[in-house]
Amino acid sequence: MNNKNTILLTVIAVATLLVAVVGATFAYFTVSQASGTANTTVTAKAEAVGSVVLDNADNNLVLEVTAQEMAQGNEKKYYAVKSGTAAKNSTDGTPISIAKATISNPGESTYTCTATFTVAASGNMAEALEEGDAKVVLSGAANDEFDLSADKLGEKSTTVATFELSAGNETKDVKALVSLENRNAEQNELAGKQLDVTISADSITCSINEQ
Amino acid sequence: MDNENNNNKNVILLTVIAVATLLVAVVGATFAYFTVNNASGQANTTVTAKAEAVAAVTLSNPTGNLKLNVSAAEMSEENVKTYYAVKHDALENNTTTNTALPIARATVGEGEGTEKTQYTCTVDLTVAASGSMASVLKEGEAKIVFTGAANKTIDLSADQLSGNETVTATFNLDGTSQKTVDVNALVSLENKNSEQNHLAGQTLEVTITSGDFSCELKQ
Repeated sequence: MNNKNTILLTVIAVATLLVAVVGATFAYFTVSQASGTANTTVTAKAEAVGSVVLDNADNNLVLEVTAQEMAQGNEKKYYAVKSGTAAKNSTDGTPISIAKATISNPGESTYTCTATFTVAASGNMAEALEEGDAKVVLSGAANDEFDLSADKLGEKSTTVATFELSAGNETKDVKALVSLENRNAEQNELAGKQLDVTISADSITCSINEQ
Repeated sequence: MDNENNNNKNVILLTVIAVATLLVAVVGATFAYFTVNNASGQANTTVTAKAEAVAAVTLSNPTGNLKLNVSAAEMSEENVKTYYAVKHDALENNTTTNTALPIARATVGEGEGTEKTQYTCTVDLTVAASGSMASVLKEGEAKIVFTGAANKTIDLSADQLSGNETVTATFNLDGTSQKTVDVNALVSLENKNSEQNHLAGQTLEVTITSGDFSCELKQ
């Protein structure tokens, strides 16, 4: 009987020791085998919005005709030139820049900008003009034509210029060709008179084109 | 005469009893003797104990850093969308597809005998925002949504983030069918239908930093 008891106790003792040793080993493995890191940096950047400026290209114009130039048989068109030049008119119709839109820092975006241009005429020639005597032709960012006679200008005096600006295309112009025509018809009512024409745009608004 | 007879009976009875007793004792003694003599043999048992292997578990970032750059056109008035971060080396600067990216991955290492072991691992991920955009972001403009081993949405505006915020990730792994578990992140910047010029030209840097990574055997 005593031998039986002895055998049983020995089995229990060995099992207990085995469990204790294995448990301690598990605890050690748990602590030692978890490692590593996971760090992430997210960089976000919002592109700056470009700024647009509209200004006059410092080009006021002048168009003066002499009596000789307006004599019968001298059928020509006389065009305005930049003020300050020696000649007071020109007979070659080269449009002159009268407004410029310039963008800074466009980035990768394309901007569509619009401005409304208004043509006005004043001076003692304004009422004497007949249809066809004088006109303004806009080109570049604006494409339109205005007859400067009082009646016609009263019907239409504005137009919208559209500027497409982007990197590499930072500047766009509106050009004007202002003309007075010797129409081989009696135009004495214009003699000795002066016409002041203003072409103006008060503001420019821009939107960014969807890519 | 009677007394003598009685005595004889008694003697006989006692003898019988005595003999019976002696017989029983002898037989019992013989049994006992036999019993002791017949207890023999051996009982040997072998106990084989085996401790299941414990694999190493590692934490890593499988995606790397992210970027989320938006152009002025993407943030223009007509373009009301949500833009999501992409890998830092992606060709595009952002995406409009809301696919979360794994930014923390717990992986059970290889090892013989590790197949049945199960683990519960945890790590704290701390989110912080800096840069010129951080202080001007408004609620709802930029956020991070964590899924997978962590589940939390963090608004990145200064008012909501208040310095930094921590999310705890818990990975349940084993050596066979669940050897890899991820924390996924969806980082977004939204073009809301309102003027957001305060973000133009600004940069935002968001860091997601892991703390101590620890694992326990699953109970």
